[in-house]
Amino acid sequence: MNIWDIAILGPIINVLIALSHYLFGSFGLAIIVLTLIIRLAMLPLTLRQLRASKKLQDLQGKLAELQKKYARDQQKLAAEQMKLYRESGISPLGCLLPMLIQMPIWIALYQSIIRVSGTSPDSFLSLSSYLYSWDAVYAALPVDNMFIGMNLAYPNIVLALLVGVSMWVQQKMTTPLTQDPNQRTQGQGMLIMMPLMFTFLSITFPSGLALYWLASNIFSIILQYFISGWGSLRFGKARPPVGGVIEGKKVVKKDEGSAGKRQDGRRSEKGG
Amino acid sequence: MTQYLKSSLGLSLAVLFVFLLGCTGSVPLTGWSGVAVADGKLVLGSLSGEMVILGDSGEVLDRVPLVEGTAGGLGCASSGPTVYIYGTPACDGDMVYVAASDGKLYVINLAGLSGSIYLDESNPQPIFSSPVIWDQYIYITSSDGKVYCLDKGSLKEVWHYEAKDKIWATPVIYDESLFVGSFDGSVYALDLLDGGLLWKFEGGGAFVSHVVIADDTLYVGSLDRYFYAIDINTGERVWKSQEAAGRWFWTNAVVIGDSVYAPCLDGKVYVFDRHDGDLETTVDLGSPISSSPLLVQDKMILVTEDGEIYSIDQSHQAQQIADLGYEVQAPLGYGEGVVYIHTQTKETVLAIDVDTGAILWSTPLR
Repeated sequence: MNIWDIAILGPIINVLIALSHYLFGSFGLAIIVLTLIIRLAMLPLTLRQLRASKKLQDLQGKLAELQKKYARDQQKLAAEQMKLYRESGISPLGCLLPMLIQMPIWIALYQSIIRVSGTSPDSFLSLSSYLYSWDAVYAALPVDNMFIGMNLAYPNIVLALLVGVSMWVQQKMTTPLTQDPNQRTQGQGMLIMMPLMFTFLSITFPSGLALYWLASNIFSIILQYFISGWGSLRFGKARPPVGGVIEGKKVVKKDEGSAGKRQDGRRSEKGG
Repeated sequence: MTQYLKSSLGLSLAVLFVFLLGCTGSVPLTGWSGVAVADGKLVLGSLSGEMVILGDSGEVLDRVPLVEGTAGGLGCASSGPTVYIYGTPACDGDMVYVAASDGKLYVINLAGLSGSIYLDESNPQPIFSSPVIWDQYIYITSSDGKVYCLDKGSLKEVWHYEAKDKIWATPVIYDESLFVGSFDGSVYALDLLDGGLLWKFEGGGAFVSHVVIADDTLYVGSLDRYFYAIDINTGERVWKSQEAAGRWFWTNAVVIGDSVYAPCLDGKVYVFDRHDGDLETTVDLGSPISSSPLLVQDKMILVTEDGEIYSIDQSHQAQQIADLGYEVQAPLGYGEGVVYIHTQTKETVLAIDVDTGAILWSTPLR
């Protein structure tokens, strides 16, 4: 057993099995509850990220001005953008941190599901070396892999699609509106790429991992809603960003007096 | 570089990282077929999904692939055989029967592959147990939770009995009854001829190993870490070990005299009084025991996962016969004073003299 097995994989395996013992023997419920525990433990970090994301949205007006001002000098533009981020206390890559922290958990969860689900003698036999001497652990094995009609040991297309959709919604809520066509193209590309990638991974991996991603996405969506409303996810006509033009509509300048309200995503979204 | 580009790149790398590390964390199937001995020939399933027939000096007589080609090689799936063989082949005259992870029972004769059949064509599930032949029938269990009885000639299903969860244990036939444990935590006694349930014993955990029978009592260990003795006629519990073992009882026990020797994944052999279940002693071998042991000349012959071969006699003393240095999970085979071992690392078949521990021959299969 190496440090990974002792410090990460072992605890996750045992907590998952013990949770399923206390949750009516349901491995699916155990994965959902484990997701909530992990996401709650990461809540301070997530809140920081969401607030940074909202700040980023609020900065779009200033960023647009910078882009207009330094349209011919990309180096200067980048420097000014970084300066603006720094002054606003935002790290553009800050949103990666919760994902980076969760990566070992994804890997461990994947490895746990492979072993706990007992699809082959090799993986199930290897599970034995990870088990703690908790009665709840031994009483729960073998766990019930079936969860609302899905076998969590195998990929499930419905769950994979739900992961993709929920990730798109979450991404859309946090993607800043921008007038810059390049950024908009890249943003839209990323908006599609990430859900597609996770849908593909969900089709490849056991659906237990997809269940974790789905529960995690739903958690993020709810949290995001309470922080900044629906953000860029609008169910009506497109609202142009401050200081920019979208699809030929009139530029709304910050100095026209409505920027403050419009930049408040939650208020403006709820208002219409 | 824009924030989107940075984020895209970062997230793409992150997901790729997950993908790659996820791949390394998987546990690949290997197969651990035991060696069957019949008419001076040895038959086993290799790790590459072939049936291998060896002569009594270890020479390879034939290799019969169950399925042509390989699978995988894309993404997480590493390239490998399309079928894996975990059960020991069953020999009947010139015919050899073996089950595989693709849910099929294969029949091989000396001329090669003779035929194959899905136990359940509509929902094939992996088979990790060995077929058992009795009279004109073949009995086999499957991960679909069923015990199947097939006609040996036509391979047509005669009956099946369905447990509540998958079955990896090989059935044991005794006195016109069939006994088998399931992942559902029960041991079943079935009528051999019609599959009718005679009784069901409910333990505290899954049963993976096959039962052992002595004097109208079944002995079997469970994944709940307890060992059970069950009345063969009524299915009532005769005794249960008083304390949990360190880990699972993964493989079968052996009965010698008045004692039951139960190997465990905690590296110990638990020796119980077979009448009342009192723990007489434990023999610590220091490495998990997942390979099925043998009873030879009133001695238990077993091999640890580290490849150390021991014999334990009625005085409960363990004597090391040999140290292979290879990982072994496959059941041991035996014939005329020789133990046959199929190793999982550096796949090799070895013949070892049970008295002297001398390696008579070894045949690499790769």
